[in-house]
Amino acid sequence: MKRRFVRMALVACVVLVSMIVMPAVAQIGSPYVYRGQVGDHPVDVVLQTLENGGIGGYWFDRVERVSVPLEKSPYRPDRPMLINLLPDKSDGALPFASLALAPMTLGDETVSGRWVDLRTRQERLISLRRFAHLLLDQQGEFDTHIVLPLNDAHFYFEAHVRKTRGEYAGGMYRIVVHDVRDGAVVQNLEVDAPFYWGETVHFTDFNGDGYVDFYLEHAQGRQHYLYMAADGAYRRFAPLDDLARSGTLRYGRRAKEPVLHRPESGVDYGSRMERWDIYRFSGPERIEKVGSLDTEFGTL
Amino acid sequence: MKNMAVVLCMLMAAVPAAADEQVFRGRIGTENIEMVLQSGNALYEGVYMYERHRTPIALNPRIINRFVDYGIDELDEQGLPRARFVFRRPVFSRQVFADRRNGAASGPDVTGKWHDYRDGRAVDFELTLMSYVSHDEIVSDGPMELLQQASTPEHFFRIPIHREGQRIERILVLSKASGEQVQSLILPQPACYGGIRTLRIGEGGTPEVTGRFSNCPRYQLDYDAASGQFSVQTVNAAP
Repeated sequence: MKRRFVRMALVACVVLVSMIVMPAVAQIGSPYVYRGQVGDHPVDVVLQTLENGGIGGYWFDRVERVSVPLEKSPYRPDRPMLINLLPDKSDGALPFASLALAPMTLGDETVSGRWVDLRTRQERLISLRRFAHLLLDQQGEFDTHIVLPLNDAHFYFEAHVRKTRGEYAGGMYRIVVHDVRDGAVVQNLEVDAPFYWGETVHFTDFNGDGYVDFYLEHAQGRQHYLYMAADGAYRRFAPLDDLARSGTLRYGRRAKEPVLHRPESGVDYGSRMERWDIYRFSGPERIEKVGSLDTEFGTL
Repeated sequence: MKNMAVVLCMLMAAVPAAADEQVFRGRIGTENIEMVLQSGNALYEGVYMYERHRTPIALNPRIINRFVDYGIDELDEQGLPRARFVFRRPVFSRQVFADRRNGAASGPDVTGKWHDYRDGRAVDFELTLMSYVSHDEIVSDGPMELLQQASTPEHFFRIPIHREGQRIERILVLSKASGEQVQSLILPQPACYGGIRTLRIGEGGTPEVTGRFSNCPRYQLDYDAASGQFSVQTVNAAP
């Protein structure tokens, strides 16, 4: 009897201590999409809890048509919250505005507060309503369009995502490319990729032409889409799909940086060396191997 | 055995999330400042004060996972970001004290830029670690009197810390006008330590000493404008 009590007490103790510690280390939560007004601007705001008890996401202004990241901030349910807006995600970027939100809990039907320009101190009222909850576990159910988090000079991208209750993952079925200058639809891309929130679409400029490109993470391998300036549209680019299927790809982070490809056969575990093939775009739509590089593990 | 299990459980539950305080002195441009950063579970918060103005300024809590060019905002009276400290070369470790003694460290421990959001001004700042307080150790280059984030229009507060375990026995009241200590308030029973927020401003602007747990005594510091003195009123005694 005594042993049973001690065991029960210890279990209760572990549960109690976990309850105290857990809020501080809560895991990344599923995103909530809020829609509404900031002053006279319609906006979309995506909010989600992050590791270490944080909250973050991004903000899309449908008049200015820019998407900006929200600075990771402490999440304090039912207490006022301050969340800064950053011009981009670079280290040391200074916020330009702040959201001073009235006490709320993520998932609430409505969110209100003030948008404050940090330079001029000009304020606008925030009034948002919950629009979608992109819950990716089996209970989740949604069928909606979301603006993807990208701050680009030419385009913004809206994705149609859908999930029915009971499915293990949702799907992304269409990407609508909009002109950032006037919001006009540039292209409707029919796609079919599993939707894993931030892991589905990855943006980068593959060929250094100044236009953002992207790939979709797909069970059958990455699907690369390259912006073809001559057509004014995105097209599938099979050579990068092929490279991704046969090894590991590293895309250039800056314009004119090469694409690196490590073939599956290019790893020598005995000597801890790996071979990377260097590819360059010889034209906006042509890629060719220009050399190879032998490096120790982890140096690239 | 039964009692031991219950006591063990109570002790574990009573351990607060580890939070450390680092006390710095330094300058923004040519202005001398004092800063306290309080950190625990990647959450950083703090307070700083210009030596000349003697009004504590709250720093907005941030979650910081990477020590690369990160920033902490100071808040204005409305609780909105007014300026940002962007830290470069941050050294928050207590190892600094040993390194200084053996000559391995010199100069400021933290450098960076202070950016004023309103006019875009950027001013260099530098800080030197003076004290380090953790739940099991206090390392300090002088008497440890921790600046409190909360203040009243005329006074600010410090709490003397003498030993590990951090039970608070006194509250020091200082004048914003002169910087002089005007009172040392002895608490009837030691209060629970809450770092830079051991003392808070309650309803009606009255300073209060509270604790995070129900077994912490609670006090209210009533101010008598005629005498210019605070008196300690017990709200809840320790059980």
